Amino acid sequence: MAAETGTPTTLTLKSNDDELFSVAESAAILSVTIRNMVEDGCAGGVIPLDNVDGKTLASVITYMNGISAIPADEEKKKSYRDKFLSDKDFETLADMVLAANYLNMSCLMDAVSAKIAQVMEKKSVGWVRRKFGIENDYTPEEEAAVKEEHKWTFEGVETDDDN
Amino acid sequence: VPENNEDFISKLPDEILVSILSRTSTKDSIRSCVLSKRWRDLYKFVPSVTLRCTDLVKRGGDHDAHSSYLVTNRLRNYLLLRSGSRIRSFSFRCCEPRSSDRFVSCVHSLARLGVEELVLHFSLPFRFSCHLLFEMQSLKYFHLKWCYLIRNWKSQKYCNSLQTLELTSVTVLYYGALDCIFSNCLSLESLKIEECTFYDKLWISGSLKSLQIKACKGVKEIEMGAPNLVRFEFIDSKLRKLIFKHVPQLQTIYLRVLYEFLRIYPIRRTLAKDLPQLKSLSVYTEGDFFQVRENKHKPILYFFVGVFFYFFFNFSG
Repeated sequence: MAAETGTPTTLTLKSNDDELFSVAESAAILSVTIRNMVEDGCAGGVIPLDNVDGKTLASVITYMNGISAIPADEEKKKSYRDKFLSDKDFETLADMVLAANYLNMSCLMDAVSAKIAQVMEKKSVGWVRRKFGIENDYTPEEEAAVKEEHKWTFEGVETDDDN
Repeated sequence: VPENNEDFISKLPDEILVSILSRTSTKDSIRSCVLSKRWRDLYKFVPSVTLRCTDLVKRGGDHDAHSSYLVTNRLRNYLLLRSGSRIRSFSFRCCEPRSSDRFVSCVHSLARLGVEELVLHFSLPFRFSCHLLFEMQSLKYFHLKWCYLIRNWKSQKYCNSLQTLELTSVTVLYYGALDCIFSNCLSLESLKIEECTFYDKLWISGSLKSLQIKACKGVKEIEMGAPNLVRFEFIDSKLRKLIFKHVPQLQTIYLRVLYEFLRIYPIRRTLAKDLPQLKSLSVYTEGDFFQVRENKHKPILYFFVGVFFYFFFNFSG
């Protein structure tokens, strides 16, 4: 459906659940993966993105359009990223970081990783497990041994009933 | 972030979890090993480590000194646990690592971990022997702050990797501590010395391309024999003598010195004779500025303010 010849100004991206999205090339090339395809001349027609579902891709494209509309101003870009990520739940953040990794978008990758990392800041192991929904598969003896080995990292951590 | 109790994180590959961990503090990242078996070794792959002594051992009340023995011991244990993984960049600030021997064993661990960038901030009683540098064969950048630099004549090792060295508030205790670095760091290209204390004469040699000396106490005379040196920057007030012994590649000089220095030092004559490649000379003194451009042995002088005619008569006279 996109332009057949020359440098297309609009690209068509296809998610792994067959949804099609139109996006300006100038915004899409924030993804190094897509930029390489464009440079290699593989971007005519539809670009299939096999590792990204429609819901996530829609979100990533919103980000691409939003961030590329901001001129070179790191402060504004940062506040856009913060705002963009503020209402996303963990499930969405995990999908986004996977997509950002696959699409090779370092700015989104950094922002989402930092957002997830924030959750762990000075927090007890029990709290992080609950937030991330991580199942503890250590036996109590094993856990105590691992804890003992890294004892100092538990000093100055927010206390928690099961820590 | 709204809470979601499904194990969303289990669908992320290890590589991404490490990238998340590398955005937490080093202490938080290490603690993650208790989360579950999968997380046990992930923190070991975080490439940059930043630690303070207060991360390792909490201080008590006001100015309650913590045990430096415990600090270095815990640091050493952490580095031992990381063996087998790489630490690309390591930054450590410590108020008093008095037990030098233990710290030396930490440096050996860092060497084995392939450290490329190292930042060490101490407090003055610590003596850093320059031979420790030669133990780290992958080190490219090193910033040392607040310590005594001592030499070790016994060391026969060389460092081929170090390119950039920054010394801040370092006191050089013996003549030769710096020479030992110049002669054993075979790839050193850039040296930045700030607020350091030296003996009155400084010898510059080795493979340096760029040298910056700023606000260093005691330096009255500098002798340079660095065949690759291209850029030299000096900011201080006490300088009395500059000897360009062998710096055939020197192109740029920036000096901020006392007017007194300019009066006694035959700068123009020396430059034309000793520095065939010189392209730009900038001298600031007591708030004034003038620039001399050497062009194929035909010096062109640019004066900006009337006061520089005064300089002119001094130089040509």
